[in-house]
This record gives sequence, structure tokens and C-alpha cells, in this order.
Amino acid sequence: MTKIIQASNKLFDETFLRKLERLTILSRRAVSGSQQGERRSTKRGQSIEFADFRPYTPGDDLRRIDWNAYARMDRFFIKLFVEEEDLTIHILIDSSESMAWGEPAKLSYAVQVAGALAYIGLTGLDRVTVTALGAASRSDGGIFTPSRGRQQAPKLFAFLQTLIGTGQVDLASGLRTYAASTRRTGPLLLISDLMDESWQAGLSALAARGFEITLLHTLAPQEVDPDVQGDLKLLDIESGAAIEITADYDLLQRYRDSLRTWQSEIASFCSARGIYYIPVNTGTPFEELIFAVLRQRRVVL
Amino acid sequence: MNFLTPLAFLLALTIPIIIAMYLLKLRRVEQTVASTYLWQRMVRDVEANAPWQKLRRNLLLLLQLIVALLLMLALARPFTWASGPTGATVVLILDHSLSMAATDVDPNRLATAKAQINQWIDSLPAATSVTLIAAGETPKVAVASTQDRRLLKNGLNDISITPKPSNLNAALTLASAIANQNPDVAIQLYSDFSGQTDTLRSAQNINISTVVVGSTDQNQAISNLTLETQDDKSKGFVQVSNFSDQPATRRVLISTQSLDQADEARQLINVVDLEIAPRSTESIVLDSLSADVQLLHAQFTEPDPLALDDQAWAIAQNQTPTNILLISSGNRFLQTALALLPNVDITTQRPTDFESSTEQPQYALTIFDSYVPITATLPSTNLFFIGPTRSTPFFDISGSIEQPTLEKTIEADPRLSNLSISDINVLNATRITVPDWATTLIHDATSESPILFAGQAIAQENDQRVATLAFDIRNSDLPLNVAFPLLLANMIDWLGGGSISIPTQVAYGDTFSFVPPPLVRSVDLFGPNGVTERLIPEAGRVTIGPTQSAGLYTLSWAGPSGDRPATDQSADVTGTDSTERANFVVNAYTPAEADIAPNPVAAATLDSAANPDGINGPASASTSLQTNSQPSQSPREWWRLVALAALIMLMVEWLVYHRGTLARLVNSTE
Repeated sequence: MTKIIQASNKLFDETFLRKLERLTILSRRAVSGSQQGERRSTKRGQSIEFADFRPYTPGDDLRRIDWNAYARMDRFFIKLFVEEEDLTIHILIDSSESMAWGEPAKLSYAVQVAGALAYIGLTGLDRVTVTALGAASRSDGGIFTPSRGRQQAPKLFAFLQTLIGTGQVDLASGLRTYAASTRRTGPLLLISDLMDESWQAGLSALAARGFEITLLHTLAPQEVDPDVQGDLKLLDIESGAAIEITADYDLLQRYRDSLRTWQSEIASFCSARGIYYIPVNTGTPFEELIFAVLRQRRVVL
Repeated sequence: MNFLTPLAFLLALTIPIIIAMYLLKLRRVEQTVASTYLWQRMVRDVEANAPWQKLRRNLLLLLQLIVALLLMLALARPFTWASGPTGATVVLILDHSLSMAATDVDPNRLATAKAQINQWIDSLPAATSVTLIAAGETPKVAVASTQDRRLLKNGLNDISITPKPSNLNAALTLASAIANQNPDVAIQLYSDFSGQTDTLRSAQNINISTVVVGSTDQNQAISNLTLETQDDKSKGFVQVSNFSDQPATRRVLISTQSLDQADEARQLINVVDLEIAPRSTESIVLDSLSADVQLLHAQFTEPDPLALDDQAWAIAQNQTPTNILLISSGNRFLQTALALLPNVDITTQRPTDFESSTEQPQYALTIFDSYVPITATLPSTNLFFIGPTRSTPFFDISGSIEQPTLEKTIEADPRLSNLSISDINVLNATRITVPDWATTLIHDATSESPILFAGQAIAQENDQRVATLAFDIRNSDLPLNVAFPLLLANMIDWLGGGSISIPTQVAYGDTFSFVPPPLVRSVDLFGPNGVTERLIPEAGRVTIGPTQSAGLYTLSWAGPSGDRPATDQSADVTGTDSTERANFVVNAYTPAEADIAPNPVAAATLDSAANPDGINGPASASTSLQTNSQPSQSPREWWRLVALAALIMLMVEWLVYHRGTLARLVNSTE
């Protein structure tokens, strides 16, 4: 199966996919799913794991009456078991033009991360949906509809490989819309550079909807430590807005300070809303991110 | 603060230009970034619209403005007035006589004067040319007119104490000569003017300033020390002089020493406390010294400002004059010239007396003047035949030469040293065949017949030195010529037994020469500080000096056995068969220099003489005994320092501009 998947994607090689199969996406809380799966559900069901008792009401399955309890207490009790259901993993990729910038480009890095995490979800019998923010004009609406099972992987990779960074993305409206339109919440991975002033509103909307959000704040090495010098006119790749700077030692020092301040602002914002904030430098080798950083931060196990 | 070129302040116009350049919109390089979001966050407070805020906190602009200001200031050539002579050309005279070694000012007068001059050189305007004259016995231009301060300082440092008194008048004459070649000249004279009895003279209307160095007249000296050996005992004489206006009490240690002993082996023989009245002398006579005392040494226990003359040495006078027998029928020229020779004892005999005498006392030299013994035998001593009338066992006469033309055959011979014979006219001379043992010194240029020849008559038993002058001096104008006493002195030097005339006492800083015995290739000189010098005779003479240290000197040379002079009348010549030694002492005492009292009156006289109308005034004529300098004001320029500051700021600006690159470099190396 892995070979078949491998044949249809250029994102990962076979060895890497095998490694991914050993991982699973951690969900920190139980959620209710739509189909039976391998995740603890908020519902009571038919697994072998005992959950609770409740008094018998007419119409209950007689097979679930705990006769031992009846013998002791002379009342009918129904034995409840934990239901195991599937999980919907939401992956959101910021596909604005700014994400296409950097060496390596942030978007291609984001696509790889999304692909890897989605593949882990699919192989873990979870439902995976991937949405590219800012790609609504595509024929598929920039959405990889919730799918389950490893056989969906080629389709997923094909979807991801067609993503291109273009236009501007209003994070606030994009995320609000997503939060409102999603029926089932679950683990949500947002991969974005947050180069938009409305990121706070967007994240708040997602958090309010009850998603278990992990924010992969992706920045290119050229953004973390810009290698610029002299008198420059910086042009925004998205808006075309210009800003004039004289890049000297002082200015670059101030830039780095400002970047750190911004990241700590985001971190404290996320912390207040139960969002896991993970700053990602696209200069970090991809495998290291998946197998070391995300593991360490307990996004995957 | 004044400025030599205030026009340079026009360069202040560059300041608004620099600021304007910062305000002007730069043509910036466009660069695309993912988003200006982060940059905007950062420059929000920096990039304000107000242009003046643009300039705020711009370190580079500040540094560039400072550099521009400093350069402008340097070009304006700021100066302050400092004390020192004025003039486009300055002639500095520095007295470096012995009295300048006095330590009454720390470390000594010369060093103090040098320090003052050094300080003054630094304050000179760059365009001022300075000539430095070292005023010693003869003035010397140490540094010719130069604007190179380093050269000047090097020349100044090279000036050291000279043992001789200085001739300030000669130095002033030299300085005036230099001054006359330049229109705007100032002369500055650094001296203690001690012992200056002559009135100092200088050309009028030359700006002269004097700096008197020194603060005391406190100096006593061992002004005389002699040791005489008579019969079987020696006698010593010590004279102590007080050059101060105050009475002085000095303790004198008198000790003896053997010539071959080190200074540590001195034996103290007497300690005398002397009360010396101001400007007078006291004497000590030691009349019961043993005859074998070879060296007498006297020294003060406590040093005074001029320590050099606080001790003295003396060795025994052990000279016996050379006995010369002159056999002449009467030759006033010869007798007069011989009588003038030092350290000779002349006995004159008429030829008839010589012929009749049966027993001759022993003489070192016998001179036959126009006479050769007929019956009497020739003495076995050294012989000098002047105008021989007939053949002798030493040579044969074969005729005569009319009006010979005299010509030296050997130029570099000690017997002909300093001798010019070209002006000598001779009426006639005897034609003599030169014997094998003799060397012709002068011959007739035409016939090459010998006129003067000399040599060691080795064929004879007595190993005599024999010289012959082939003409009667009365038949020539030689006695009227300056060559005559010189020729006679040279010949007597050689014939007198090759006597080595070395003085027992040599004045400090003096030079003397002596004729070593023949065949001596080199003479070793052992100085008082253990300094050994090998001296090679030049033209038969060895020159010693100028003596730079006081104390006992020993001369030593290898003498072949049997080559000892017949009469040893040297200062003190001792030695074994193979090595001969002679000693002499050098004492630093010089009367003119021992009086170290600074003499501001002499300086004042000079000032008033140079500026009789008082235009320039005796600005620096000091009436104090302290080191005193109040010369006129001269501008001291500061542009070098300002330019240096500008350079440093420029380097700082460069570092600030490139600090990002530098930080990266540092990080990469770490």
C-alpha cells in the first residue's frame, strides 16, 4: 500500500512514510466522532472498557443489564462502556503569497508538514481534513474534505501538491468562517506565518469553537535573521506596500528584538487560550521538525 | 586659543551639507520581502515623517559631524602662546662643559637643560627652523638648520659632557654668523655661565635669550696632587680648593697603591679634616712616604655637586733628562734649538777639548757638529753627525754636492713627521755613500745622494743608533726655517735612545702622542674603568685621547728583548723583557670648570650687550641661581593633536558603520 501511495506523491519517500506510520496524532481530550474508531469518544458505546452504570429505562438493551447489581440491590442497572470513535483532524494551511516566500519557501515546508501530519491521521483511522486558507477560488474550494483511511493518502498528496501561495489572506475572516462551518471539532493544526494584523481575531474564533489548536508559526530563516544591508526599499510581496530602511547594525538588532517580542506576544496569547504555540524556522530540517520538535511538544507520538 | 588660518572656518559650510545629505531621499535598492508587517512594527517609532526625527539617534551622522568639525579646527591651525624664543629661525646653544655635569639640579645641569629644550622643541611652530650648537672647547653645530624635530631631539640627546671648559664667545660668534644669514633669528643660550670671566659678546640687534642652569656654587676640588721621589723617600702634596663663597669642611682620604694593583688594594695612609675658607685653598704635605710608593690617591669622603674633581691620582715623577754631548766649535742655532728641547741636559765641548779628554762620561747621545774626531775614538753611544768633514767607521765620504735639492725618500717616518723641507736651501753638502745599516730619509733629488740617513749600526758591538745630516747647517737656511726645531726634536727623540716621553699627568679630555720604540706594532691602553683599547702606531706615533675618564691609565707594548732604550726617561716605564709598561694619570680637575657657581651676571651682560636699546630686553637674564627661563612668547600649535583626534573619530565612524559585519565575523569565528 505504501508503495502505491509513494507512486502518486512527490512529497515523501517510502522510508519516510513508513516512519510516519509509526506515529499517531495526540488528542488531549476525548471528542465525539461520527464513526467507530480508535479514539475515546465522549459517547458511551460498546468497547470492553467499563465507563459507568445508569438505571435501566424501558427500551434499553436487556443484554446490558448488570445482573449482579440486580441481585445485590434489587434494581436494574445498565452497564455503560466507553465508546471508541474516530477523530477529525483539521489541518489549515495559510496559502497567502507571503507563504510562498523564503528559502526554503514557507508554503512548501507547510505542505510537507501538513502532508506528514495528515498521513499520520489517515493511517491512524482518523478523519483528516485539510483546508488551504486563501484558496477558495480553486475548483475544490481549497478544501480536502474529511477523509478516512490510508487509501485517501494519494488524493491528499495530490491536493497538497497543487497548492500555490497567492493573494492576501484575511486570517480573521478565514478562520472565523472555518470555525463556524465546521461541524465536528477536534485537533486543529494551523500552519501560518501570521503576517496579518488580524491573526488574533482568527485564533480567538477557533479557540472559542472548541478546537484543540496547535499553531505552527512558520518563518523563513531570512525573516528570523535578515541578511540585508544598506539603504533599502522593502516591498511587501502581497500588498506591494513599501517601507524604506537603512539596514545597519542597530536596525537589524532592533528587528531581531522586535521579532522576539512579537513571538512572545503570540505565545502568551496562545497560552491564554489553550493553543499550543510552536515557532517553526523553515531552515530546520523537516524530519527534525516531525520526529523531534513535534514529538517533544507532544503533537505526535 | 588663537588661529593661524581662521579662513578654514569657512569649511563649517560642510556641516549643513552633511546634514542635508542625510535628509535627502536616498535612491534605495528595492527588495521584496514576505511582508513588511514585521518591519513596520519595528520602524514605527523610528521612521517618523518629521525630517529632524530622522536625524535623531543617528550615530554615524554625529561622528561624521565631529570629524568635519575636527578637520576644520585642524586646518584653522589653533595655537596658544607658550614661553620660548620667537623667530622663524632659532639658534640654540647648549653649553656642555664639565661644570654642566654638576648635580645640584636633578639629575644634572646638562640633563635639565636638555629636558627644557625638549619641552620647548615640542611647543615650536612647525615652520621654525632650529640650529643646535654644542658649546664645548670649540663650538660644534650638532644639528644644522632643520624643521625635523626628531632629528633635533636625536642631535640633542647625542650631546654629552665634554671634559674641557666651553668657549661661549666662540659659540656666540658661530651663532651670530648663522643669524646673519637669516632675517628673523632668535638665539637661545643654555648654560650655567660658570667661570665665565670674559665678557660675552654678540652681534647687536639679535634677539638673544639666556637660560641659566644651576643653583649652587658648592664645590670643592682636589686641585693638585703630586708625588715626588727623591733619593730613598717620596713626598706627596695635596691641595684642596674651595670654590664656594661659603667656608667648607672636607675630610680627605689619602691612600697609596701599587701600580699593578686594583683600586680595592689601596692602602689608606692618612685622613685629614680640612677647614677651607671661601674661595681659598688648603694644602697637605706628606713628606715621609716610603720610596716604593708608586701611586698616591686623594679623595673626599662626601661627594659634592661636581663629583668628578673630588678625587685625584698621582704617580711618581721619575724622569731623568737625556744627557746629550754636543761637540761644536760654536753653533748658536744648534745650541739654542737643543736648549729648547724638553727634558734634555746638554753638555757642550769644543772639538779640541774632546780630543784632549781621556775619559768621557757616559752620554745618551753625542752630536758632532761639522767635526769628526781625528785622534779620539768615537763614543760607544748614539751618534748624530751634522755636516761630517771626513769619513768615519760608519760611513765614507766621497766628495761634495753643490746646492742639492732636498727631497724626502720616506714620507711616513716618525723622524720626518710634521717636517716640510721644500723651502730649505742648502749651499753644499757632503757626498756620502749610504751604509747598509742605514735608511736614507732625505736625499738630493738630482744625484740621489743621501742628505739625511739614520739607522741601527748593528755591525757595531754597542748596537748604536747613528744619524747623519750631510750638510753644515750654517751653509743653509735650515736654522731659519720652522723645519729645523722639528727635525732636531724628531732626531733627538729617536737618537736620545728612543726615549718614550709620556707625561705622568694628562689633563682631562686632553690628547697626546708619543713615539713608541721601533718595531712596536701595537700599544694596549688600559683605562681606569677596565676599558682596554689597542692602539696602532700611525706614522711612528701613538695618539692617546681625548681622555674620557679620570684615573690611572697603563700603556703596555711588546718590546723585543734588547731593544730597550739606552736611557729610560719615560714617565714610568717598567716591564719584563718582553712586555713594557708606562703609566699616566688623568685628573678631572679644571680650574675654570671647578668653579660651578652659575653666573647670571654674565648672562645679563650678554643680553644687555645684544640689545642695548632694550627693544627686546633681557627677557631671560636670570638673577636667580635657580634654573630660570623666562624667554619671550612663541605660538604653540595644536593642529597635530586635533588632526589626530579627527583620524581617531574617522576610525570610530568606520567601525560603527561596519559593526554588523564585524559582529558577524566575530560570531563566525566563535
